[in-house]
Amino acid sequence: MKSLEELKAIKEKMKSTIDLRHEDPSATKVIVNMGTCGIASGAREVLNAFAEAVAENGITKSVMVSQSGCSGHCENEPVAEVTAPGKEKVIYGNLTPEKAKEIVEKHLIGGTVVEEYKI
Amino acid sequence: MLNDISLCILDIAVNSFKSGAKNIGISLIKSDDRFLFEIKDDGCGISAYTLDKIHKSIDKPEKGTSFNGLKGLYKACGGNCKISSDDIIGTKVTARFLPDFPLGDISGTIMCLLNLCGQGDVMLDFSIECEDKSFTLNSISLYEISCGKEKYYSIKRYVQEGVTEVFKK
Repeated sequence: MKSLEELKAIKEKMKSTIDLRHEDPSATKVIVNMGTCGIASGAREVLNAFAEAVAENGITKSVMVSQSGCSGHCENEPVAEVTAPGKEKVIYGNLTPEKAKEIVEKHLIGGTVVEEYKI
Repeated sequence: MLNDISLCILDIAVNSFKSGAKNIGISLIKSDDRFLFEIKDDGCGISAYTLDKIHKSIDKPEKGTSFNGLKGLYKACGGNCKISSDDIIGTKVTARFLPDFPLGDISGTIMCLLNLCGQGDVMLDFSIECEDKSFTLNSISLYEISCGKEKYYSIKRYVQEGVTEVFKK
């Protein structure tokens, strides 16, 4: 395994070849709760499904998929929050990879909140 | 609870992102008598005071502490883990599991961490050694081998094939 110093050296060397992504204030954010409760309930599969659907639909420039810690909705994990600029945050719970893909299609692309998955 | 090694790794590594780390190194080594993983980062680290609090909370569970992940890890590996940290240099977590402890979906964990890396703002270096085989990946190097619309799927295939191959008997 490389040391942290070696990793930093690789990163420095590669800097010119990569396009660093900076937080875009106009991007819609999908935040998946990745506390231990979320991870134990399937947050990994849900985050991967969101990322895959975002990539598949070619909306990686306008949607950012990220993670946060436990938000206190442990009984409804896996949980994800969708925040679009100028709009109220929507919290979805009891998610599955299939529901995540549906949210991408209906909410992120279609602009319609999926009411049945809201908590 | 975290029922396999892949979830334990993810749970600890997610904390590296939360700590503001820019470089995260993860290694997983399998031999006949153990699974061993090590996660190190250059994040904000844990102060000696907090580290002491973590160890006390592991020994004597109490409500209101936020170290459930580490507690879960301790429980999962039967206490065979070690956390070392410094305010300046980051954190290192090592854990040893019995070889029959479930490995889980290592590819899924790697993909999840790569998704969190973004495009170069956090660098992840992941290595797996299993007997005489090994698989390594670096999140930044991956962006070189991939291209265009197929980027996500080419990375996913690369990870799945690499992990499958290294654990193939």
